[in-house]
Amino acid sequence: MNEALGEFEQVVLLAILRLADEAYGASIRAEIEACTGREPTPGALYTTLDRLEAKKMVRSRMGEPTAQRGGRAKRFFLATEKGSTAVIAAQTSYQRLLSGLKLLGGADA
Amino acid sequence: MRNAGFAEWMLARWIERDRALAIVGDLEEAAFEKGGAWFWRSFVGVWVASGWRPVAGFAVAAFGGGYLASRILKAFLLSTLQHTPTRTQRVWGSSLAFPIALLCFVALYGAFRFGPRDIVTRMAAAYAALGAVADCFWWQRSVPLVVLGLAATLLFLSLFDRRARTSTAVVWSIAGILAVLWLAVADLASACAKK
Repeated sequence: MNEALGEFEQVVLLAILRLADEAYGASIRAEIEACTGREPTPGALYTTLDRLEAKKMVRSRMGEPTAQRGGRAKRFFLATEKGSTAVIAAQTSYQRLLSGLKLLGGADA
Repeated sequence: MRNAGFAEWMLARWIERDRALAIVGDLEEAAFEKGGAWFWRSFVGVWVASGWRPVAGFAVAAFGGGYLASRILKAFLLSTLQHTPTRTQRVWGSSLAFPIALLCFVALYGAFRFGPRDIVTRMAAAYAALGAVADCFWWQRSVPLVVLGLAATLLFLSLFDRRARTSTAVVWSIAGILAVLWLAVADLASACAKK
């Protein structure tokens, strides 16, 4: 059975999938902000990343230290197959719920 | 960023140093655009989000563990008034309360910090429950035997999984060290009383 994903967990997972090999804390935040227009707080973002890692939906690895970050390494995230499957399942459910709805008096969504 | 090292040190009180380093690095990177005030505001948010679980877990575990231990010890002492224990039963019964208290602490803290699915949390909760039943119903001949049987079964089953093996070793070490310490103190106290 698929593990349920919260709304913000889906947003974070999708951002990780979009960034592929370049997904780390700052870039994930920036991607979410660019795509959704909302600025996630770092506290919520890192808690969600840890939770996704505990659920084995993402895995992380440490990169090399860089001078731009005061010699601190980046922690890169990669979506696992379980994570990708879960986010696709969640998004498909949304699509199914949305299909056939006439929103705001317009055509089918 | 000035004092980013301090932020890193503060965060490393709650989480692994590598993770703390990466988070502070991320904040520092973003702070080039957003400024120092944003860095510290965000840092406080991350620090609170990472730290509330260990702090709240410790408080609940300390209070809950102490409360449960006192109830179990009270139940044991009351039962010794109604049923006459042998010296061995008295010593083991009273000494069980302390490992049980610590296991309750570990289970409650683990549930808060790592979630109820954590294997050490579950093992600690299971052995604490078995110990509590043995301590409260020691006078019913079958109860200690059933408890011993269940503990042995749990021990045997945990041999087949690496994580369960490690967790069992952790839980038994905690409980064993405390029980031995308590028995040593009880022996010392009784030797002193005889003199």
